[in-house]
Amino acid sequence: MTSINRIAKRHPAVLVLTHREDDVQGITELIAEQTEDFRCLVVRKTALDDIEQLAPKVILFALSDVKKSICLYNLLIKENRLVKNHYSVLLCSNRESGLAFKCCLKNLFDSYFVYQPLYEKFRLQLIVYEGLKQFTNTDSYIESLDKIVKDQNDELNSLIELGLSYKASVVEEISKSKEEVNSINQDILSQMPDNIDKQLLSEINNSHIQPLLNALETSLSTKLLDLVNGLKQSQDLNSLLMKQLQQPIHTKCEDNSVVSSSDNAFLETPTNQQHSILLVEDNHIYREMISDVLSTVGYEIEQVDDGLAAIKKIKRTQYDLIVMDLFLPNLDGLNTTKHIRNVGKNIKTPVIALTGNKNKQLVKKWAEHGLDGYILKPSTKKEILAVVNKAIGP
Amino acid sequence: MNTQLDQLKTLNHNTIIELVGDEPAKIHKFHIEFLKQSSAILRTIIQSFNSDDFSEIKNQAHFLKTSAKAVGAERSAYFLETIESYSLEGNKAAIKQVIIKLNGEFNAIKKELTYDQH
Repeated sequence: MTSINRIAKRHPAVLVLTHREDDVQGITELIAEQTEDFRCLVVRKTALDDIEQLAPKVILFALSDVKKSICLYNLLIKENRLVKNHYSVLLCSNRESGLAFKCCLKNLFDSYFVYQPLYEKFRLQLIVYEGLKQFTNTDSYIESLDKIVKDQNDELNSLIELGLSYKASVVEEISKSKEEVNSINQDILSQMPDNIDKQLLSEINNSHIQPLLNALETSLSTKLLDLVNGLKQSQDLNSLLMKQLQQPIHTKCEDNSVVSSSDNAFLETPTNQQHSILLVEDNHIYREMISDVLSTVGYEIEQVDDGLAAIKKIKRTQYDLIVMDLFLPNLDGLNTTKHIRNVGKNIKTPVIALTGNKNKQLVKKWAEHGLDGYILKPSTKKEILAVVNKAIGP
Repeated sequence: MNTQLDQLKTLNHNTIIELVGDEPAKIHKFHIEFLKQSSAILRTIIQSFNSDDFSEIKNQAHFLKTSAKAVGAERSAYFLETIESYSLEGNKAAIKQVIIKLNGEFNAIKKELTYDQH
């Protein structure tokens, strides 16, 4: 048996089971940030006895593969070696996440987490917290999570707190309404002349009114959580925008004068009616290529390489078309489009997506926020012009 | 998988001609730009590989895949897509093998462009 804790407890709240301690080093460091009340146990022949003695409340199975974790967990349950209301978490590699998901779906494990590779660190801490929450005295864990969150952004935290208080008040209102409905029902029942009608009303209450109230409660909770998430995203976006806006702003006239001095030949022989297109693509080679295709037929092109720069442009200039990549630094195509559709001069400007063949689902989602067409990477000049001309119109 | 790779070209000139037109000077400029970009991105991919940053490996491979496809570097684009999917799995050993192949492919492009000039 081994432990990386400074003070090894006899009955740790959290226990990580592994074949090699090195495999779970990242995991143990994260849990250590959260609580000192944990141990890491390297599974050997005496594992069953060791685990029974430790009597952990939250057990994380991180054996070399999912099958071995399932076998060990089955054995522990079969031989009744675990505390009854324990919380079990299956840790797995990304390759085995489907299998782990299935195990949780069938209620074998309470949760699972992909730790190879280790991406979503906060999610692991949330899972451990969810496990610990089932037992008494979770204040210290909440404090440690609060500390992590506090390091982020005061204003954002207050927005989240605000959203949660809205949720609490709505839930309270629903509970009150429920009580009122129940008391009214009771009154009606007591006034009913015969028992059959009373029974009928009670059945209607149980089968229709209560489920409807529950559904309403769930729906409102979900909407409020969405609101909190929305506030969070908008806060991030606004901070980034403020940073960008604090830089010196060039007017569009200045931009045009630069273009005219450097490209007189183009201005002399326009084939299109100077339709302006904003091209948003982070890969400068591909951006140059598309720009070349469009400018040779007379379109006026402005180029930027990320979503935030695009938003800065669309705030002060109206374009005839926006051609935009899906994956962009700082703010992706989907969220940039959402922003375009909400504020500025380009609410109705058509947007065309530049995308790979593998992103059809994302493009579909993007289309829901006002996409007017897409160009697959790499398309031919003919295909690009067909999509652009169609979107701009005559 | 290999059958698919056998059908791909190191540089498919038709792809870039259909995109920017049959203009040798322009095409040459884009090919040289691509070689410069690929060298820089490959270095970043290796740095991310050494620090086990699979998310960044995937992002960089995706980024370079765009220009690889546009200039007609079909085999490079294929290797970059393979790196993307191995990054999602966190399969370090497989990524290493593909990075070696990708480096060889960039050298093949360099050779082909040098040969074209003569």
